[in-house]
Amino acid sequence: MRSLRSVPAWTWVAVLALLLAMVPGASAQQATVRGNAGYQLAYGYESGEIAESVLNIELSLEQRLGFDGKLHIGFDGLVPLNGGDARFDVGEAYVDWYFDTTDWRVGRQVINWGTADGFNPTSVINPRGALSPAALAKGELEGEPVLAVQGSYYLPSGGSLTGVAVAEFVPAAGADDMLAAIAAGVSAGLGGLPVDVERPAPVPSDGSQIEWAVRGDWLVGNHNVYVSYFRGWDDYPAAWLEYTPGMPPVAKIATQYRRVHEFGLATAGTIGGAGFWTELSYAVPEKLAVLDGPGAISSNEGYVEAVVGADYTFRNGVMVSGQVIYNGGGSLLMPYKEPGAAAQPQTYLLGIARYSPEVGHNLEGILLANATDGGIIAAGRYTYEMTQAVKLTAGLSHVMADAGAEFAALKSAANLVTAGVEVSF
Amino acid sequence: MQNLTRIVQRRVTAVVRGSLALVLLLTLAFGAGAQELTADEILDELEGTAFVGSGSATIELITINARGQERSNRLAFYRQETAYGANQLLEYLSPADVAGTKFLTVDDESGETLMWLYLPALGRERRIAGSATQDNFMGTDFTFEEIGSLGNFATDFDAERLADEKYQDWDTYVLRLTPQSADSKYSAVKMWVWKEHFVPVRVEFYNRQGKLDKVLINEDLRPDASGRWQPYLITMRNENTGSRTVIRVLETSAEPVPDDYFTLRYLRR
Repeated sequence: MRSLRSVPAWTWVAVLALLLAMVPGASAQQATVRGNAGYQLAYGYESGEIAESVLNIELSLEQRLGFDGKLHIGFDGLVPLNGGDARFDVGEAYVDWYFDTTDWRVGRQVINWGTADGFNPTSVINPRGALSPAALAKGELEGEPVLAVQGSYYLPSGGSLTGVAVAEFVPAAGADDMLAAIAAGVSAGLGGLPVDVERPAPVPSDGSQIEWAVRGDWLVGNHNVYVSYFRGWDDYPAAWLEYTPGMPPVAKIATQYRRVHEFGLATAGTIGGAGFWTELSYAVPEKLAVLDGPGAISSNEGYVEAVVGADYTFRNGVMVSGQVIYNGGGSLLMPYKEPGAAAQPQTYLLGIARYSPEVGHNLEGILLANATDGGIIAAGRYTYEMTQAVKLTAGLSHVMADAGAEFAALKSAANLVTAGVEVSF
Repeated sequence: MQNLTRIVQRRVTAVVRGSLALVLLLTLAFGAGAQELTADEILDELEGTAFVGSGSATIELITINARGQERSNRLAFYRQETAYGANQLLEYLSPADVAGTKFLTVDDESGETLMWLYLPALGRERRIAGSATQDNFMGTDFTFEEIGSLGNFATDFDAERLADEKYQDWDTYVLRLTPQSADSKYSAVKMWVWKEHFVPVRVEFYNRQGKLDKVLINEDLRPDASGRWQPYLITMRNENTGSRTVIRVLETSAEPVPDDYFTLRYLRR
């Protein structure tokens, strides 16, 4: 059976276009086309190199259909000017149907759950990369779209129940690089012995690749409460080190995708004039016997992720927000640990401030601190809205971390000066 | 994350104030006849005829800074009277970078106003705190306090009636309002109210130093389809910065808005 993942994204566009053509009255509705194009330059003042020089474009088409529903198709393009291949992808591409008490969405889609800013442990349907300086700077919070059916039933009392079935498994990007870095470290510790990284076997396409999730949401005492459950595949493959003594010895990092249960609880409300939110998840990965051994790079243990946050806007217009992030599974930057070591839960503090001194001028700052080792990533940005459609940005990010701290390795990649321009249409 | 936060916070302040500005439109829209009235009775007429009924409107909101640069947003506004107050939905129609953004407010039985913002780029609703309403509306010259106080003159201000005046073509009552709260950013508000239909046609805001801070002017007064008089052109001028904000009412309807509009379900569509 052919993997759904191998079907070109354009196929989904063609299918949706066919659906659209079959819908009576659809052509009479006016399509809305929106988008933006921009250029981003990042210079690494630690490395002395241009870290990024890219053109990007986003385009979306939306059309109301003859029935109560709509069609949405999005496109993303990225053209690196300092090396690398240009990329043009179909983003979300789906059809909505709205009925009396249920809403349906079918197609490639991103399903964002959760209540926190930037890090949402209960949003587990789409694959997401680990938190990175690039993500911090760009706000790349949406996961990779997946082919899914989403149905929501709205209760007369005001709450809703949502069910999601995901037809394809899309792994998170970046696992190869992370494991290669671990392999390099292991190799150095073994006196230069080559350590290969085996790629995981694909998830079977016999139906067992299907993931599903449910969520209920209600208003409880003026707080939105969301309870969710996900059954699917871990976005990152489990990994372990295999070492075979001999002449010469053989070492490799083996990997395998495994299933996972994810339980989630999120709330959002206000206390006084402040916004307040919490998010909690508990992940239970499938146990692999090999991960009980001394070479485990992933863990068999379940772990908790939690976020508690609040925001407040002062009368002078300064907005501040703070979040405490706890990751029982280890680092936010990497879902793996050193071979054989125990996972070290990490706690982070995230602070954000924003101020607009004048119309069209915006200042913002962000601080992410590892409460365990004291490492800090700080970033600031100024945005000038030259016209209503044209924005200029200038930014600076800086890492402060002692050798051995979690963020220390990011200095060369995250100590950046950035500039950009964006045109929306 | 930074970008997300920037987007969210900017939209929060923008959209929240947008809704409140539209409340202002409704506040200033309705009036009733009267003869000799005290200052409090005139305020009561404003208060009693504000925030009434259900309906919808499409408006254009233009901000103009001191250098003459303009920014324009087109918005749809829906309102529904409820037993606990009102439900309101604000939807951005243009420009492209904000289109699809929706802001929902619901007055609940406890007297609290619940607020949610939906950003298409975020793909989910976000609860909004009351403090987020303390900034300027979308970089306009309206603030929450100004809008809020306009809706609560009778409760938030002590009123004194001054000598009637002819303001432009209108016979007006003239009121001097003194805020009851020491925290107010204003020391006084002076208001000209068109006698015939109880529409404020000019409102002056004086800062704590007694200096004129802002001036609100309502023009193009005419009855809507239901016969209610309202301004179709509203200008707030900042005397300190030289900026001004113009609200043009493009379309109004007194048709009741379906309940579905004021739900998270509609927000997510």
